[in-house]
Amino acid sequence: MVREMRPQQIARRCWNFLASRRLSVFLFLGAVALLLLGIFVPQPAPPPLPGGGIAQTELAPSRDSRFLHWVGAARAAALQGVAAALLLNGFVCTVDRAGRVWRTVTRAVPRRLPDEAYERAPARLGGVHPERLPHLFRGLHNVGSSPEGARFFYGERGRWTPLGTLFTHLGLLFLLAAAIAHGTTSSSTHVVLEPGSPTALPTRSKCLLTLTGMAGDSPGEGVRIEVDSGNRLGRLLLTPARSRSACGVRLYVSTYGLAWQATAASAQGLELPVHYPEAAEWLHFTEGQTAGTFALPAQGITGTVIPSPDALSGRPAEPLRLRLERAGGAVLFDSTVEPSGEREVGGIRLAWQTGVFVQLKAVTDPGFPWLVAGGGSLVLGACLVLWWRPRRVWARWTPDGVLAVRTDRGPLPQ
Amino acid sequence: MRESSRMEQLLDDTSLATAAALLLAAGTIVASLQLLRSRAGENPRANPDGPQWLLGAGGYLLLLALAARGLTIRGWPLARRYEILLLSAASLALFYAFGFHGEHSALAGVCAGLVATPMLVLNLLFTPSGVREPQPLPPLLGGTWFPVHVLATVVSYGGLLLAGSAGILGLVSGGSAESSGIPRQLDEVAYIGLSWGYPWLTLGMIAGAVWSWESWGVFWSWNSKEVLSLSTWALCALAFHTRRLKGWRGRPHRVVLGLVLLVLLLTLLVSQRLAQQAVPGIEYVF
Repeated sequence: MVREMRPQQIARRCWNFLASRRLSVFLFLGAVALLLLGIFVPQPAPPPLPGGGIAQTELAPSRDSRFLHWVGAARAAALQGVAAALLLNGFVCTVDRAGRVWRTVTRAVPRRLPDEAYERAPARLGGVHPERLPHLFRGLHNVGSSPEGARFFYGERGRWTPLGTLFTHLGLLFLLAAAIAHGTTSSSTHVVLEPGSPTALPTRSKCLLTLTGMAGDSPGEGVRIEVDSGNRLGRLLLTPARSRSACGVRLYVSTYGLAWQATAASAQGLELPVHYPEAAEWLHFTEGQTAGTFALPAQGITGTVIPSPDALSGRPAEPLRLRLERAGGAVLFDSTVEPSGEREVGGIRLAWQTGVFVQLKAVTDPGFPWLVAGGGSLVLGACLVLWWRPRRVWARWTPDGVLAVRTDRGPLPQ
Repeated sequence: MRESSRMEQLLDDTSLATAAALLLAAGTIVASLQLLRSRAGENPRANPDGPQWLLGAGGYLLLLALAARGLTIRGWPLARRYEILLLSAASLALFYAFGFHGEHSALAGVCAGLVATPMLVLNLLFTPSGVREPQPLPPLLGGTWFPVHVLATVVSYGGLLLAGSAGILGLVSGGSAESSGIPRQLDEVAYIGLSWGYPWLTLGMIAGAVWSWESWGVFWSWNSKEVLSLSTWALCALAFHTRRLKGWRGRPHRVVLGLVLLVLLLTLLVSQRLAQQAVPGIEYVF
């Protein structure tokens, strides 16, 4: 026999299915199974790191995840589908339970029970003086008395705590918003700051950043940056563990290293061009690089700079070795020199300076406030529901000194 | 000079941890005896709070051992897995000592002791002395949010390890949720553990996300610890649902609790090794 169902009934069934705890259980099981499988089953390799050229000290810790391919697991359609279904289930549960929870917390509760309820009370104390009542049960108030002299008391706590369920589900929805905002609108760019010269942020062209110094003797202890946002000048101290906000972006020290620059002039005082690799304006010593080369093409001279290990770790005050050669291999100069100085070699006057470069990561992520809101809501909801359980107590004191107590959750502990 | 070396010997963290292991083992034995006596219908206990005192003292000794390491490096002693395991054992022992009195206390003592004692003993036996040396946190792990993240997470482990242990014991002892007796009491112990651990775990994960954002601009990077923590969190949420769902109470619920324990142990013991296999030389896994 086929029973006909009206559209409302179908909709109601669908709604009940989506709001069901059983569905939540299966979806949670699926999510856990996929996450754990993602650990042990190789996943497709993720795309390579963006902007991975300069890496004196790669401070991002996510290299291991890239090797273990969890990023791939997170991108798997199955996990995304389960997560989406779980969030839909969470949304429907929130809406479905909102009315019920609201009615629970706002429902009028009788403050005085029928006499039989007190007669059958599971907890009965004898010889109680009414003066002792406030000490015996804190929070009980007198809610009336009978002509026979009996007094009635009522107390409750945690009336609003069922709302915690809604907060937890709402928190999950905020986390969804965080994930969507992060996936669609977040951006992360790298900017290299050369010693002393201002550099514009790629995403905020009016915002100029200038590296003005270091907090200690190496950039690892922090770098000082001047920020010119067009209408305001500010100074920041950035360390590897301490990011800062400026011009609407969050700035992080991504990499750093030694930078070296030379200027050359002929005997007549004419400035000669100096070429560095990758058309840069400074010679950068990146991670693993122990020497750098530059060229004076007009004179056919090639220079090699070999910093000391200390200098390579970002300490610009250390001496370094400078070697100049003609095109045929004839050595013009080879000696240890101070980090800054000048020297006349082969008819040209060479001046050089040493500093540090810093690569910053500039991040905008509108998902972060949503994450904080979602996390806060989840924690608040979980604490309310799990740590502060609602309880109601009804008590009756009779002139013979008997206090009958009952609660909405079984007998009171003795 | 002699005084200070004597003081150092007294505060040697290995000795303190060994003493703590003995106290935890004694607490477990006393709790087991109390449980057996109460099952046999005897007057259960001359000193009803004996297990709490023993396990609590063990927990405090572990905190003292960690404080000694912290004083040595003048910072948070949170860089080593050895330290995280000590802190987790302390968290479990102290949660039991403060969270259980009267009803279920002997049963909860057995659950807590059966996890905390082997965890501590194996940690002491199998962590090489070189790896055990206290080490300051690298600068990248500085900041306010890192200790908040680690401490909240470890506090949660206290409750969740207890819940997992109760789940496994419930499975071993058999029966269904509807029947009275040990399995049902174990379910209640597990619920108390879950209720304590879940909000702390959530707070720990959120604090970790904030720390990650403050430190390198990504609040979630799918690394080993994060995936395993997310799995633990999802399993706890699952346990809250199965506890109240008809057909899933009893054995299936306890299987979920057992999985919580398994994934927690994976988080504590294996995630670092997995990451080290992938990236040789990596020292810390978040």
